[in-house]
Amino acid sequence: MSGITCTQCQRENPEDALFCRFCNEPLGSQPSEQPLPDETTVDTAGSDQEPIPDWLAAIRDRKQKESPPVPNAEPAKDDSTLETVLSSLGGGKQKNNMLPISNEEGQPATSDARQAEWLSNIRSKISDGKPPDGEMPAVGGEAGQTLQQADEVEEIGEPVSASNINQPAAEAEDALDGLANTDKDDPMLQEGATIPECQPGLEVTIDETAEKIDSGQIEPKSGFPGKDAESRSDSEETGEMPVDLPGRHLRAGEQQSQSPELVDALEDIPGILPGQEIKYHPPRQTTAQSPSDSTTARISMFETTLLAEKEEHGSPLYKRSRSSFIVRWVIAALLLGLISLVQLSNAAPSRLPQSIPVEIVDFYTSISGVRAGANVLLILDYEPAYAGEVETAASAGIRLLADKQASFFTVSTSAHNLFLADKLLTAVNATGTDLEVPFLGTDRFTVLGYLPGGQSGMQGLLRDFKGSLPLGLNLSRTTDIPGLSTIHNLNSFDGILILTDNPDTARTWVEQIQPLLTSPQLWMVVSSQAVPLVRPYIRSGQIDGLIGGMYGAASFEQVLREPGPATQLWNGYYYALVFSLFIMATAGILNYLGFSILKTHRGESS
Amino acid sequence: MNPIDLVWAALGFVLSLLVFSYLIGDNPLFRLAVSLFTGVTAGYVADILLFQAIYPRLIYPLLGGTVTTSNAITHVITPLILSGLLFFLPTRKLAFLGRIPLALLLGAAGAFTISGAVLGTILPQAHATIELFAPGQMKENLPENLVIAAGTITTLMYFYFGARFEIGKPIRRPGWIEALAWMGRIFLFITLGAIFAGVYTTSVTALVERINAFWNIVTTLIR
Repeated sequence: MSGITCTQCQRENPEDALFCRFCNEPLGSQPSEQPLPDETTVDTAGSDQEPIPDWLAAIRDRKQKESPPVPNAEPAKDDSTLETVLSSLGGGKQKNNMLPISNEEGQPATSDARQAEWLSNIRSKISDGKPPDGEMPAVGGEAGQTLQQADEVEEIGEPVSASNINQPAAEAEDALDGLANTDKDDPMLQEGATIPECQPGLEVTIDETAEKIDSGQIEPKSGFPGKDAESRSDSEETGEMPVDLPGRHLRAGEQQSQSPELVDALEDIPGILPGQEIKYHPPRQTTAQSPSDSTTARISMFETTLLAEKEEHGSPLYKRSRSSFIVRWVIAALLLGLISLVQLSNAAPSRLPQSIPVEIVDFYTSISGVRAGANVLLILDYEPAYAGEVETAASAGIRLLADKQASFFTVSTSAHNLFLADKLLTAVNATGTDLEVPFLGTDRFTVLGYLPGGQSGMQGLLRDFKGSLPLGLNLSRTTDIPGLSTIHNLNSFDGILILTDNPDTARTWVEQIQPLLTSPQLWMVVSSQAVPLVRPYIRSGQIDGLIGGMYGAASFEQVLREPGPATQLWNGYYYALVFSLFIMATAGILNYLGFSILKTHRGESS
Repeated sequence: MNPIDLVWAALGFVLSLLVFSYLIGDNPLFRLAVSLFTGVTAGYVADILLFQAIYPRLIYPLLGGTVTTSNAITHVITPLILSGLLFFLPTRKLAFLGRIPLALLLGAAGAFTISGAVLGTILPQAHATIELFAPGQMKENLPENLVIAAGTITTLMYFYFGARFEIGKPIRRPGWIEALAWMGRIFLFITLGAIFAGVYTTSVTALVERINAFWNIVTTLIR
């Protein structure tokens, strides 16, 4: 977006803005590198532009003939006196704030070259030390009057402040600007309309001008074209004299000559009439304007936090190199080959666990204490992906319970775990060929199905077991299942075995049912990843036994002295872990050495 | 091995190979296996929910005549109304009706979770930690008990995030808490390392179990 950059705050403003919308700095003093909009120019030569009215062309022709040749309106760089006088006339900064106008050739005027012909006359007059020979510009009488006032003031040598002068000068510029941007729909500009006569050489004094302004013959204008009410109120707050008050032309001693109505009207405006003091209202000291250091620091910290949150932090793109791809394949091939070789060798398990964890001993002790023909609730809450590990770990414990002629009832809080019940018993039967009683297809193994409701479902089992599970997996009533005839709630069971791979699931079961359990034993078989978070419940006595992963299963089989599935897989498991540790250690050492060598090379090169 | 078991075993073997193909990166074979698993799981779960949740708890009580006058409101009518209100959730004007059962569900779940955490974990674990220093048990395994107590306290201190704000100074916790938190961070490192080791061990176990099953199938076929 092309706009005007404020020289004060360096912010972008719309190209048609007169003042900076951020700091209220006038934007008219932009250098000429900002292209002026085409609407401000009147191109008489261009065929594609609107033709100017005849009367305006006549005015321009006459002015060109009557006016002496004016040197190029380049600012006198070495004439400091001229610049000083001009600044006192035009108000320096305010001169630059005037609207850009077009010159007679239709070229856009710049801040340095926009001086009109009459202004050049003033300059020549000042430089020559005499009034200019030329007349006032052939424009509306109001602008001519104001500039003539300036001449008059200078001739009579009265002390005139810049504020008294620059306003009429601005009015003249404004009038010229209005002339250059005439509306073609103005009835005064229509063909055949009467053109008002110019009034060259109009001689008025400043007092007469003031009287005309006061009587309404001349409409006073603001010093800054477009200056709005807000800026005025700002100037009032800071104690400055408003520049566009009706009585600003009055000076001390002249008030007596004014009409009583005018005096009465000005009485209410502070600082206008002599003897009145300008009331200065200092800015109120509030906490918002002068925050304490602590508040400032907190604000700064808050803004910093907001900025940090707004920053986008893209996820780093990680692209594997070809070498890492090859290394990964090599490691995978070695691991698969090693495990296959070990498992195919059918070698006797070596390096079985020698130190039996406490929770394994507790598990064995607890199950050993269960009566024969006990009712055991199996809770299957593990994902199918972890079935291999969990079933391997649970196999020895289930076989031990089966040896005690226990009846199993399975429940799952996960809808897709129901088929795992049959698979579990199949796995147990496949490994435990010496089981005295086959379980599949008998009343001693009942799949009760899915338990909906999550935590509330667990609580429901504590209150009303068969009410929480009205139908079994085959849609038969649980009240009709013979094995459940003595089961009323969870406390009716002799033991509860929870199989899970998720530590959160294990924790939830313990939290919901353990505090209300009275007689049943609570055991858990979990995967290796859940062991660190479940073991504290063993220490606190909330769980009566725990088998964790392959290590726990192999340990339990060691306790039972009956090799099971864990013992069969132990060699592959053990050597795979040893190989993994070797790879990790080697990779760590190589990584450290590589970075050290790279660091050394960088140090040498730098 | 009967033919049906052989077919299922062969199918499982092929699907295992498809999953293993992720070693070479994401590929259509891996996506096929994952999509197949997702689709089968979704269909299976829908079937289970229909016959294990909706039918036994909503339809069966009505058809089976287990509903009596006394429990009709609690067992059938109330669940039926609340379930029906869930259908208003997608609507714009009546969605507030659907939020009623959701609010009940969330409130009940929150109540169960909080009460379970307090009664099932916080109080028993705190009691177990304190009990380590009971007069009778203090002499047994004193170093282990000290480590457990230190780990519990310092880990809790690590999650203490209160700090005093002073101008010109970095926001830090009090010095003694900072020291304890530094020790707690070590225990956290050890715990997270143990969890990572457990996850890796689980993966190795699954790999070993799958390879063993594969070779069992192969050797069975050869025989």
